[in-house]
Amino acid sequence: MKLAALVRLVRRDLARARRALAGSAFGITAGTATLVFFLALGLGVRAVLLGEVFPIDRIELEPPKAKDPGLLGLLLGGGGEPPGISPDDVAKLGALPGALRVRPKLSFAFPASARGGREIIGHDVGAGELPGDGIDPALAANDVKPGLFVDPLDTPGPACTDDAVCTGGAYCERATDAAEGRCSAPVPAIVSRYLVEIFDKSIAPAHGFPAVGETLLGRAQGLTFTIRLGESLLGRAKQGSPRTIKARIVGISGSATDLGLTFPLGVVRRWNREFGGQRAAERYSSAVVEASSGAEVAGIIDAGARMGLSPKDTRARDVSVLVSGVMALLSLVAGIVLVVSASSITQTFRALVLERRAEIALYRAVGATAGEIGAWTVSLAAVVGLFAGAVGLLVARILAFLADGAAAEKLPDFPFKPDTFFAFPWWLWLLGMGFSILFSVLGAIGPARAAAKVDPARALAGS
Amino acid sequence: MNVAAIRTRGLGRVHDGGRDARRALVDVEIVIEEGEFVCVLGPSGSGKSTLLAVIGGLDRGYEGQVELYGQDLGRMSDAALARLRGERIGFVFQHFHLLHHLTVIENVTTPALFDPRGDEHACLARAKQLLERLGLADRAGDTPAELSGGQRQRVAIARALLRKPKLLLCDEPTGNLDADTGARIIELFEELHREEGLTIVAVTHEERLARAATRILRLKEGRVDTSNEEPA
Repeated sequence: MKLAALVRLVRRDLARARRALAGSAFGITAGTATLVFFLALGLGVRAVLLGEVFPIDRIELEPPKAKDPGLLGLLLGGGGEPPGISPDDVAKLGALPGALRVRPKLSFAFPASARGGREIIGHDVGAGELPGDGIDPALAANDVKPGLFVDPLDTPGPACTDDAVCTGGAYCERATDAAEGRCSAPVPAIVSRYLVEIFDKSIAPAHGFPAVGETLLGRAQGLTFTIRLGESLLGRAKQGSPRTIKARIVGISGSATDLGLTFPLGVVRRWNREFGGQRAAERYSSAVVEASSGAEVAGIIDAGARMGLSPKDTRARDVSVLVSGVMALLSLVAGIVLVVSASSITQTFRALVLERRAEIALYRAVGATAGEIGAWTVSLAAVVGLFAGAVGLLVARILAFLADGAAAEKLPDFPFKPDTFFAFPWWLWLLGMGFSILFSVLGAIGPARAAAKVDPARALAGS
Repeated sequence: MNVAAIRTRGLGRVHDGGRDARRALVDVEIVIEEGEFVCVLGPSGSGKSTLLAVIGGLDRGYEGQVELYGQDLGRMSDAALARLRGERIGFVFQHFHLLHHLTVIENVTTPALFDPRGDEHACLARAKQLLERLGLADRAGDTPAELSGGQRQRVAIARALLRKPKLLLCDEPTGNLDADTGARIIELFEELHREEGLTIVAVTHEERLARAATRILRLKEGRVDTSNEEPA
C-alpha cells in the first residue's frame, strides 16, 4: 500500500470516528501533559538549583582541614597549618579524565577588615572580619566585563611611598618593608550572588538600607572599599605591618566566595606572601575542577579522594539526587497515567475493529494484506497519539505559564526565586510527543493484530 | 497446454464448531477453464459460499489443493495471496458490502488503495468509465444510502471490475434484488462474459442466473453432484 493510500484511509477514519477517537485520546493527552509538566518543572528547578545555587558542572576540592591540636597542643603553641594543595596536585587534577581545566583558589592567610559602600548605601559600613580569596580571573570571565577583574600591578603606575602621590583614585601599593611601592588602581573584587541576597534580604531590611542587587550590577565600578590588610577585629597577622588598600567591586559571580570578597589570584598570592609567608603563597586552599559534563563530576570526586582531597560542598550532589528522585517519581506517576491511557486506546480500537470486521474483510478481499490492515490500525493510533501529544504539550505549556504566574503573585520573595520554575528544552517536546505516540501505538497493537486476523470469509458472510 | 482458471483436487473444508464440526466441502474436484461462466447451485448449507471463499483465497482452512491460474493457493504467503486477489479476482456479494461513509466513486476506487503500482489518475478515470458503463455516472458523488438495491449492486460490480480482474466471483449477486433489477444484473454479467471474456463463477439459488451460465455445477452436502452436471 502506498503512503498516500494509508494517509487517505487514516484521514477518513479521523473524520468518521472522531468522537470515539477523541475520547480515547483524552487519557493520552492528560498523560502527556502530566509527564511534560512535571519533567519541565523538575528541569527548571534543577536548572536554578544546580545552575545558580549549586553549580554542578564544576566541583571544588579542598585538602583536609588542619588537625585538631587538642588541649595540650593549644597550650604548646596553637593548631597545625592546613596542608593546602600543591601546584603538582593542581596539574594532576587537570589531567584527570573529564576535567576541562582546574582553577586553584587561594584563601587569605592573614586577617583583614573592610569599610565602604557610601556610594550606594549613603554612608560607610564596615566588616570587622573580612574573609577573602583569590581566583584565576578566567573563572569569572563570564560574569565580569573584560579587563576589569585583573591584577592592577599587571600595569603598574608610578613609584610611590604613600597615597598622596597617586592620583585618580589610585593608592600606593607598597608591601611591608619595601622602600617604595607603585601607584595602583583599586584592586578589583567580585562578590557572590549569595552575599548580595543575604545583604538584600536580611541585612538591608534590618538597617533600612536599600537593596543593592541590581544597583550593584549597574554601578559595579563605583562601589569602592578600603581594606585593612593584616589586621582585623580579632587580631593581627603573624608577620608584616598592617596597611590599608583600596578595592572596588567589579561584579557578581558564581565563582566568588559565598561570604567575603574575591580578588585576582596574583593579588592574594602577593598579600599572602607578605602577611603569611612563602608557604601561604604557594599552597592553594582549594581547586575548582571544571568538568566536561555533570556525569564526569563523580569520577573527578573519586580521583580527588585518592589524592586526599574532598568536595568542599556536597550539597550540589545531594540536591541533584533529590531533584532527580522527585522527577523520577513524578514521571512514574505520569507513566502510569499513560499506561492507563493506552488501555483506553486499546478498548476504543478493539471496539472499532469489532465494528469494522466487514470493512476489514472487504479490504482483504480487494487485495489488502494482513500487514496492511495492521499498519492501517497502528497508523490511525499513531495519528491519534500525535494529536493527543500536541494537545498535551500545549496543555503542559499553558499550565506551566499559569503556575509561573501564580508563583510570581502568591509566593513570597526568596533568594534565587526564578522568573520561571519550568524548563522546556527542545528534546522535552520531542520526548512528550514520542511518548504520546508510543503509548497510543502500544495500546493499538493488540487491536491491530486482531484486525489483521479477521477471517474475511466469515466476516463477509456476516458470522 | 492451457492453464485452467480454477482447479481443485481433493478439496475439503471442515467448519470447526467444537463438537458440532461440520464438513462444508468433501473431496471437491473441479476444473473451470478461462472464459467460462459457471453457476454453482445447491441448497442452503451445501457448501456453495464456502467453495467460493476457498477458491477466492479468502478461506485458507481447507484440505487438498486449490490452484488459480496454475498457482497453488496453499503454498502462497498471505501477501502473495492478497496480491493475487487484488490483481486477478473481483468479488461481488449478496449484501454488496459497500462502505456507507464513502461516496460511490470512493467505493469504486477502494481496491486501488491496496494496489502498490496503481496510478491515481488512471484509476479515477477507470472508475468513471465503469460508472458510465453501468449507468451510474450521475451518482458518483452520492452515498450508497441514496441508491436503490440494483444501483448498489452495480456499484459493487464496478468496484469488482476496477483492477481489470480475470475472474469474477459472485456470491448470490441477485439474492437481495427484486426480479426486474436482478434480471438487469444478470444481463450485465452476460455482457461482461461475452464482451470481455471474463471468467465468472456465481453461487446462486436463482434459476435465471443459472440459465445465463455456460455451465452449472451442483453441490450437495459439500460434494459435487456430478450426476446432474450439465451445460446451461
